[in-house]
Amino acid sequence: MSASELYQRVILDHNRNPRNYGELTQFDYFARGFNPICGDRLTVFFSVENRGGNELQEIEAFRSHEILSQMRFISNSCALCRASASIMTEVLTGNPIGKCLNIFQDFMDFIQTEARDEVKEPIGDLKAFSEIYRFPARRKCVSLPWKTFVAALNQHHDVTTEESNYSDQGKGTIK
Amino acid sequence: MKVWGIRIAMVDSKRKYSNSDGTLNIQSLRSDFPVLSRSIRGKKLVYLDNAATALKPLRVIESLERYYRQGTANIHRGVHLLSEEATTAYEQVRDIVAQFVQASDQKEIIFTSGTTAGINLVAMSFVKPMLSPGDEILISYLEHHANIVPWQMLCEQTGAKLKIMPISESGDIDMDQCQAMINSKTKFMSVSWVSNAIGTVNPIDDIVRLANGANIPILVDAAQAVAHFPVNLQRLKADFLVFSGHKLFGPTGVGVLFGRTHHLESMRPIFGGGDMIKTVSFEKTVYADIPARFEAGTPPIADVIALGEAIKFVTDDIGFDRIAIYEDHLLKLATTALRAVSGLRIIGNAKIKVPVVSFILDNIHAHDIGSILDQHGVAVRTGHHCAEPLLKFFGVPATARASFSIINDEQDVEALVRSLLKAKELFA
Repeated sequence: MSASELYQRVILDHNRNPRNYGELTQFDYFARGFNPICGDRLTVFFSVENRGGNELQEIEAFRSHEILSQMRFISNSCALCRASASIMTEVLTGNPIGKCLNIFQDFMDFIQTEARDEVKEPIGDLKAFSEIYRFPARRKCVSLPWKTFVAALNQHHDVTTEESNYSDQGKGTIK
Repeated sequence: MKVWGIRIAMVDSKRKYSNSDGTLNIQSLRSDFPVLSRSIRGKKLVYLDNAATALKPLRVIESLERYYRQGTANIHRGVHLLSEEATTAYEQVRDIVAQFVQASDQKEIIFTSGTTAGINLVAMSFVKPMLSPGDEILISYLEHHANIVPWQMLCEQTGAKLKIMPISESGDIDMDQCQAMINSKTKFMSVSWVSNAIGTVNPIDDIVRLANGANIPILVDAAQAVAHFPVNLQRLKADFLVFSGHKLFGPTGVGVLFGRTHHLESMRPIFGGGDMIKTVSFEKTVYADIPARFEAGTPPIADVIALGEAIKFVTDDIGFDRIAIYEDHLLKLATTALRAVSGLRIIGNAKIKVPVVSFILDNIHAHDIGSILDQHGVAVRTGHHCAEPLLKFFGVPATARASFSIINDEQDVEALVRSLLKAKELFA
């Protein structure tokens, strides 16, 4: 194991030249993600076609019709987080939201599961994260953009890597 | 001799780990740290995370093992031999600690689970009862979260306000502004002696004198100080002082709270239980005298005893005079070597520092630096170092921090620089 296996060429390239980098002025969903352990921050914006209603309780029903049409992000983060966000924008764009969530779930398994014969080979450049499962301290860097994407879908605009779910926003703060 | 602004006595008796001229023999000292012989990812371990926790010498490890192998017993209650031995060993360490910080009385030494527990105990037991809405607690910009959050929690409960002493761009406390912030509403001050994130050694004598002059009780967080220079509480008139054992080559889970007798005697205990009482009935409990009043329940006996060995390791086997000379040498060497790396910026250039160098590199996030260095066997801390407000002040989300100690040698500095150059190469 060497540094170049963790930081594969593809990751370094996406870090240096992130795809779909920048803000979206018009978007349907957005969320800000924060990793309090290392200070990584990013914001994910995306638009969908066939958008359903705005009410949260109806989202599940409408989501099946929605297709992610455009996605951008900005970040102040480590290379793994930025590359993960960059690749995420590439692999999700053009897919129905339901499929996006499947890609998300498979990728989370891919970066966490020690038993490698049980994981599915992910699509596109996501394969470059094949060694991350060996580095528990760095998994959160890779998963942050994805958790931010899911938070945005659920209309939560702020999420951190330290929350187990996205429904307890605002609790446990000292003002 | 004066190092880091602190006068340190030279001891010339024959000590362990000595070259023929009495100077420190680093290789013989290193050979007493078993972890240093471990290889990390196939490379020699270069441990530069001493500010997070110090590695443990054989003297400490053997002490822990001795307690569990030969003498496990609870203290203060058994009449059997094992219990008597454990009680004696445990209470002897109170004496060792009292001497270590030059407290006038060993009952001013309370064993805690660490620095954090000490600060929280003082916050809840001493400070909280004296606070009214609008009162102020003064801390500095350099604090670790352990010396921020307990006070925030207290302010939330009482309506008091948290005030922050400003620092300069170099990372030094601005003493003039600090003085100006003290007023009739200031009820307590809590200041770190040494910054864990950037290594600043604060002018603690001046700060404590300021507090004393205004009749404001002050706590000194000495977590990052005690492994580097001696504490003299006869001269330093702090009301409270806290530190952890594990940063002093001792075990985790044990720490020390020093408090002046008149304060401790006025404080109500926070935890009730066994060992902190004189008599108990269902109607009324009479608390034990200090220090037992603040040590409810079975303490970390093995760890306290091993802490005594850690202190003797520092004061007897090595000596603060040799620590000061050697660590100052390492700090200069590391600072010069890191400054020569292009694109590297050192965060925190205080006038007086312990051997802690926090830095960022152009185009490589601190977290990536940490992972790449780890691949070369070099252990550094990356992130905000539990000092988010301080890093915000410097406008950086995270730094890499190389913290040196007496166990490091010059090759460790070379290894750090070599692996940083490798990181730059990879990210070029």
